Formats: sequence, C-alpha cells, structure tokens
Amino acid sequence: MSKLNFDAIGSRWEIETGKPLPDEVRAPLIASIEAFDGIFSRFRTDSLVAEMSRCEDGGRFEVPAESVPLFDLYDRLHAATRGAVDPLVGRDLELLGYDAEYTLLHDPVAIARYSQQRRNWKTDVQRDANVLATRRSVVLDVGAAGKGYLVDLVAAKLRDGGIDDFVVDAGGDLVHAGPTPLRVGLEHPADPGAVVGIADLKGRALCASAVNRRAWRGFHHVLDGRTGVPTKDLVATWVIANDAMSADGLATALFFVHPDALRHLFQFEWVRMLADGRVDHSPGFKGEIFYSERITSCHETG
Amino acid sequence: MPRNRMRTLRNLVPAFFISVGLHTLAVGAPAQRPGETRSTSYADGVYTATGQYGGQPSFITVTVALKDGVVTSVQVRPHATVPRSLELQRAFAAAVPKVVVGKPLSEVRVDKLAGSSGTPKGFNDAIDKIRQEAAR
Repeated sequence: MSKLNFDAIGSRWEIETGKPLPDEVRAPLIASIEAFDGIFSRFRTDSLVAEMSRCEDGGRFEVPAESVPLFDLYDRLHAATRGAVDPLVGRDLELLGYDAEYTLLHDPVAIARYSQQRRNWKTDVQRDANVLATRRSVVLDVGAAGKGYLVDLVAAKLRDGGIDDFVVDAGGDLVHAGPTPLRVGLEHPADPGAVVGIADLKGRALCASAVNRRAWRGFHHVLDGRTGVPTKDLVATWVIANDAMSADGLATALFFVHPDALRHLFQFEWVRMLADGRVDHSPGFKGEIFYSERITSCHETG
Repeated sequence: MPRNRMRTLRNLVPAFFISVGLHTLAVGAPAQRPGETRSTSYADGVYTATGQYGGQPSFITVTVALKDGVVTSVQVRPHATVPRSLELQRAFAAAVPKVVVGKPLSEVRVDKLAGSSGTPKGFNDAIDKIRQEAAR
C-alpha cells in the first residue's frame, strides 16, 4: 500500500492506494481541495462565502457547476428535517463564537437580534443550478456535507486515474474501494482511546459526527437551523452510504430526526449514540457493536 | 449476601413491544393486566420474559431493569432458527438502544477510526488556547 498524507481544510488527510499515486494524479487532488476551500471557507476573507456575508443587500453568486450535487443534497436534507439541517447556520455558529477568529465567545445581544431575522435556506437563497441569489447577508456553512463532498471528489479523481483499490480518509470521513474490507473503529465520544464498535466497510463511504469534542463553553457545532440552538438528544452518529457526501450530511441529519424519517429518501446504514450513552443501529448495519451484557439492578436487602 | 431479584412477568413483553421507538421506556399503562387500576406499579428489579409469537411458534427473550417504574436497561435476545425470523428478531433487537462498553484500542484490530478525532485542527488549537488562558 502507498500512502499520501497532507493537511487540508483543517483536517488530516490520508490517502492509501494499492499502487503509488502518479504525480499527475496527486497534484490535482490537493489543488482541487484547496480550490473548494477558497470558495466555501467560512474562515478566510477572500472566499465566496465571505463575500456573500458582506453583501448586506444580497447579490448573485456563482459556485462551481460540479458543486451542484452538494446543494441538491442540502435541499433534500433541509426538506427531510423540516429545516433543521440548514447551510445558513453559519451565522449562528459565528454568533456562538465559532467564527473566523475562533473567539469561542458568544454574543447574547446579537443572538437575540438575529433570532428576529433568522435566515432560512429555502426562503433566503434562490438557487438556479449553480447560481445562488440572495436578498440580504447570509453566512453559508457547508460543514454538514462539504467534507464528504471533497472525499468523493478525491475518490472520483483516483478512479479517473485508473486506481480502483484505495481508502480516502479525511479525519474519519472515509471512502473505500477495493476487494479487502476495511475495519473502521467507531470512536467512543467520551473516551478517546476506546471504540464502541467496528464497522466493516467495503466499497462504500462512512462518515461520523460527534458533538462532544467540537464543543466550547457549553455549546457545540451541530445547530438546529430553525433555532440556532445546539442539539441535545444525540452525542454521536455514524452513517454508511454509497457516497461520502450523503453519509456526511445524513450523519448530521440524524441529530434532528429519527432514522425512519430518512429511510425512504436515502439508502444508508446508521449507528447512533443517544445523550444517555446508549447506542442503537440500523438492522442492516454490517459490523459489531460492543453492547454491555450488564443489567443494572438493585439488590434486595436482608 | 444480596440476592439478585429475578422475576418473570409475562405482560412485560407486549408492553415492551409497544414502547419501542420511545426514548423513555416507561412501563405505565401498557403493562397493566385487565382489571387492574392505573396506580399499579412494579417493584425495582430485573425482569426477564420469553415471548412467544407466530404460528411456528417463535421465541424472543427480553430482559429489563426497572427503577422507580421506569425501564433503565433493556436486553433483547433473538433466538430464532428460521433465517427470516432471525433477521426480523435481530432488526427488532437493533432498534432498542442499549448500553455499550468502550473497548480500548489495544484490544481491537482496526484499520481506521471514525468519530471525535476528526475534529478540525483550527478548532482544537483554539480550545487549547482557551485552556491555557484559563490555567493562568
């Protein structure tokens, strides 16, 4: 196996391939990730997202044509979760302190003010294919599915380069191709050195979302788009789907709706950990969950 | 020596089937026998029941722990022999959230990890900075 490691969009990437990556495949991979970041990053002032945020009276913004599937997915997830998954939570994240400067300080007055004029993906952005039209300032955050989108993009470029045996890992968002299944440890959210189960991944993508680590001063980064408030019912989700973008987006959607609400709309398997630490999974999940055999009970006295 | 309380309660199984899908599995009204009053409550402890259903018939074992009238833990053990039946029982068991034990990474063989460690570097750096400031 040949390995390529690099840092991009704030994540550690590792690409393992059955045969060494030729230079003509390797260089465009990293360039395309950087190009995506240059358009969609909330953390740089020269991005399209920053420009959209600055246009107080709105405007028309063209995104790359190949990113249309990403916005199609957001449309579907927004509808399926009745507005809970909303890429306009960028503003809420900023107000809670998850901003370009990483102040991690929330602004209660601004939060109160914004709650009166909350942006909504359906009504505040009119999208015609790859052109987004706004009428006031919006802060786009493609955090729910953007990394999965990039993992798929890399996988597609590997396939185009004639490589059909690989693992693309962007900080735990994975896509696998090839004959040998991959054993993926499902990290215990509360115990970094432990796993709660193992997924067998073969020819599909697996993405995880957890709220315990990307958390600050009582907040975390999975926000309900309808309220701007961090979710409470779940602490971690894992989703296996045919593509990483869907797996990534669904891993976020599961924080807001029961898996049954998404079952007829997407083809996926899931594992989730509830806020009380219990875990359940879809019937078709391929792998193992380390369930406790222990039954808690009181003893009789005397 | 304390004795672990184990009882069999036939009516708990249907009650449990009704409760699946709810986050809080309170055994209230559904567990009542006909004619009983609504004030009926069950003693704390562990209850095990093997349910029988279907024409073949098929069995499934459910063990629940009760505390203050609330189910605090549930185990479902499928033991069907017919493949389709086993599949259904496993699907049912999977739908019940259960307590997990974290296994140390030293005890398992995995190729990759997915979960919290995927936290972006920029965020981790910011958190570290806050911790350092707080420690001053």
